[in-house]
Amino acid sequence: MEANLLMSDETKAHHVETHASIWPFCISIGVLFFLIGLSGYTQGNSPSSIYPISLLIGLLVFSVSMIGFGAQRFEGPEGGYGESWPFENVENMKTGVWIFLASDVVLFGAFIGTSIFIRVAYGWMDWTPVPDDVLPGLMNTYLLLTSSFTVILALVAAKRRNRYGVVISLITTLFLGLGFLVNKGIEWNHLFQHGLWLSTNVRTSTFFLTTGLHGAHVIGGLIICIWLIGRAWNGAYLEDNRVIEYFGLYWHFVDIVWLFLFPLFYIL
Amino acid sequence: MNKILQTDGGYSDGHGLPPMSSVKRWLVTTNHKDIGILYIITSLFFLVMGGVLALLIRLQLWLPRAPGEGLLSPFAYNQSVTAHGLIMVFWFLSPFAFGLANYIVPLQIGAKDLAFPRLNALSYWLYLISGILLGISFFQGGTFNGGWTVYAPLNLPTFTPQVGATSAVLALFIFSVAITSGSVNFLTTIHRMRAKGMTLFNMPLFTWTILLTVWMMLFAFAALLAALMILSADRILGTTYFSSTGTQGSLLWTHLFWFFGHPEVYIVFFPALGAMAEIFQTFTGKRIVGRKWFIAALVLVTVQSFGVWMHHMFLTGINLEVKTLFMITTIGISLPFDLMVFSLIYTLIKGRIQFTTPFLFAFGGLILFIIGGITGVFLGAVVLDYEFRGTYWVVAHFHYVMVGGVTGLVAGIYYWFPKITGRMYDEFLGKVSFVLYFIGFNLLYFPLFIAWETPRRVFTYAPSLIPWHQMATIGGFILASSFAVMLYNFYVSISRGEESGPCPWKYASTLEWSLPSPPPLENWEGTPTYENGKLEFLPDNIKTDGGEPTHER
Amino acid sequence: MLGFSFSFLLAGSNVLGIFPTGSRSFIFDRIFLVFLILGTIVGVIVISYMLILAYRYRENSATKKDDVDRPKLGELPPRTDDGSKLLKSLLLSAVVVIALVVWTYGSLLYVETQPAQIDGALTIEVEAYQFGFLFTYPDGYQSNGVLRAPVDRVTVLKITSRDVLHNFGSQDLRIKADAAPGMISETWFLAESTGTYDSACYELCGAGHSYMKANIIILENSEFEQWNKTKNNGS
Repeated sequence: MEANLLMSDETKAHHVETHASIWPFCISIGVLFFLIGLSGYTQGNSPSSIYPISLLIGLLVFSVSMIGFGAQRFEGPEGGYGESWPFENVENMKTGVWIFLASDVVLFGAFIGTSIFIRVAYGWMDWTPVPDDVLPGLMNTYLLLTSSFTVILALVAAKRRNRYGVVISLITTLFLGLGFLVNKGIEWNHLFQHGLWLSTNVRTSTFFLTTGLHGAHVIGGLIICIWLIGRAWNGAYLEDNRVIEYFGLYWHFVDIVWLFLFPLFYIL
Repeated sequence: MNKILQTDGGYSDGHGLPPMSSVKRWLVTTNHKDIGILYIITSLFFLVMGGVLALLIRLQLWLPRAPGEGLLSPFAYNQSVTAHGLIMVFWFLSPFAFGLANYIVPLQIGAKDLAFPRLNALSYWLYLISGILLGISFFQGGTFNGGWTVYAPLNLPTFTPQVGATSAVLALFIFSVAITSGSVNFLTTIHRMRAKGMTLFNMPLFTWTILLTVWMMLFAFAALLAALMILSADRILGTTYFSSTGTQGSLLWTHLFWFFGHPEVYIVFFPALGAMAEIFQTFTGKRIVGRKWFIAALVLVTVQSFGVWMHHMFLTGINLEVKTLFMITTIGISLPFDLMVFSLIYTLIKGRIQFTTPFLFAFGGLILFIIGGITGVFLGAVVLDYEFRGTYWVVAHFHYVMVGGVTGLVAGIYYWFPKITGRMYDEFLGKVSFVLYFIGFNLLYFPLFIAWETPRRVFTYAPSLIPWHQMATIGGFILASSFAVMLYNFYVSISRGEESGPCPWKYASTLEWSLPSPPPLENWEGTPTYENGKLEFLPDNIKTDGGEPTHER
Repeated sequence: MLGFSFSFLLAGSNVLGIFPTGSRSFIFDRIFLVFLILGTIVGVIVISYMLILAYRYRENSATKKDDVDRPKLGELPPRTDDGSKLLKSLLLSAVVVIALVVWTYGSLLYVETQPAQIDGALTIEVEAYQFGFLFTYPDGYQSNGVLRAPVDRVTVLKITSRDVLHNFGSQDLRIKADAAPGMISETWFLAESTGTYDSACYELCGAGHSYMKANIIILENSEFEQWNKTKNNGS
């Protein structure tokens, strides 16, 4: 997220573009250590203690740097200098979010396509869904749909300049999202108890990995949500609610992806 | 003192940026020109790394070897061919083009910077650490050694148990993340931040090719990202996507990889094509012939590039109907390139051609691309493709196309060198480097067509082919020497070259040449506009008085 | 369904022998030769044309009068340009390329559909492994690294892999097919003279890839039958 959207107006009045930020460098160092640590694991086994240590250092540096990145005041160029076809009325950040989502569609498309490819090769009718119970998945569908609704409520509250409305709606979203994850955790734990693990067979592999990728998107969304709640508490977004709108775009997308995953992995 | 290091002296307001001579400057910068320079230098480093591996391969191929003979063990040889391919395609070619694009594209369209400068810096640093991780992987029991196509199931720990192989996969993964964030940034910038009057049609051709490149990157690299996530999970968590023989894991990988892999060819080649188009126009003193058709052809290729991937799989379990379909799309995608080649050739007519180094490289690059294209038609005929698969015909063909693309980018780096550094390169050394390049290139790759019956990635071959392989090895060293001359030329010229002024070229027409060399930190005072049909700079205050909202809500 | 119509098309259209049929080597060599000649001609013409143009329109050439409107710094590209010459050239190149590929398509159909239907063709299963080839005959006889087949008779190969992706190929006999684990790819060959031919793996498959080879021994029909009868006794 580029923080230039969040600045108040008086800083924009005169020329204050910044060109320096150490955080991209720090984030990358964290990523490097994290990946070196990760490389030591082969199908769950770690060869020596160096790798877990590197993993932890990387995670720590990455997290601190991300916080630094998010908290930094940074002024980018305004943009929209004249010609903006076909995005005349879509400002930079929103354009960026839409384009990112387009790429994410292909990412999930590849995952879903892969699952279907494997299932066709396996024999479509011989394949049974991994979870024996549809109920947790169904509950999660309702939880996510409701949370999409509460994000819209947050945007409406922001337009009405209602600080508590924004905060409460976002907190509700957060709890609905957490509910989704807890429910999924219980369900997965149940499956693990029955001896089903990622490596059990190709059916469990596709189930855990694809829904796991979706779960990672949910976690990412919730981290952004916590950050929004903190800022909303201090009265942000009443003047400028665009960030909530962009978060909503992402959140709806995650919701829609689930609407594809749910039937594919629970019902069919 | 280097000219390039002094540029800050003239600008009182560095906006928190230390001067260019300080190391800190390069760690904290988010400016598109600085990051462009970082990309170019880093990618040249990877060129040297990939080039050294290539020379090792060529030395191993000097004679057909028995096991244990020659410089490299079989394991080291497989690592070399794999890492050479990965480094050249991923860590050199695209980032080299991205470096030029970072520097030039905002200048060409009239933007002060990319839309998200910090994200741009992040893309660069992730690219750098991905390359460092690949370097580290050599020391973790050996890097990945299953070929740059990373075919399954050789890519699984059962067959490549080295920790370094996992690192290489993770390096590729994080590289894809860097590319994706870079694509989002460029797409937003080019679509949103053009000067008045700079409509899409009016954009310079280099910007056009970059725009289409990043569109392809956005989708192609997302597919690769998915493939690499699954592969990482297979390697690290033990999922069984690619190891399940009952569900054709091997075929699954080839689909995922080539869905990315074929657009990647155009991703690599387009920026070179754009640079060649700019250079042809500048040094022939002619506007490109059929500009509208040229752009239409580019767009057509971009769209079609996602519908040809199975022509890499004619021998990999697809049926006749699908083969026929992909044979047709493959021919379909070759035709727009014919048009672009003709367009460049006809641009020469009635020109006043100046044989400067950039033009020589662009002209030479076009010749090499034509040879690469003609030999590609051979591969489009499925019956021939069956026999060429896995042989040096394929190797020679794609080196003519890909390294032909490098030729175009080298032309670009000579062309924009005066803009980036403020000084001229040495024209004589430049011409020497071109002669070495062109001779070395053809001596390296043309004999491979003649020795095409050699299987790929082996170091035993029929003794009758020895002369051709030795010729190629000599050519490889000549080509390498050309890069050495080029780098020496740049190194010397940065501090001692003649001052170039804003525009050293007689017929240059794009916006970047109207700025001082190198351009100031924020590119220009005032606002560039093409509103009245030609470039003008409006004073800053007119912009605010003119009622353009700087902050809409 | 589609495959049927293809073969129907094939049966009807090659009466005049327009496209090559026969052994793989013959088909390949014929088509390759035609492509090579045409490719060389086109390449020489286009590149010479480029060089002539570049020389003729060099900056300090004799023609000093310059009536062409040159690009100026800061201009926008003009909207009027004539692409008719370009499109004509495109049409010409499209005709050449499409004609060539359509011509080879008949041979592709032949290669893909005809010989596999021949009754009584010898079928041999090929299993690739790190790092060699195991050949299995219809009666279950197995041979490692040596494939024996009769001359002038179509031999069908069913190829698979025990471990990673390999590719079984022979340049001499123009055979090539992927060997993928869990899949069977089918191909065929027809040897026109007796002798020993090389075959090798054409897909990087691990440290021993460079040495993953097998011999193909082509015998006279009578010799082959003799060997075929006695092969199970020997081992």
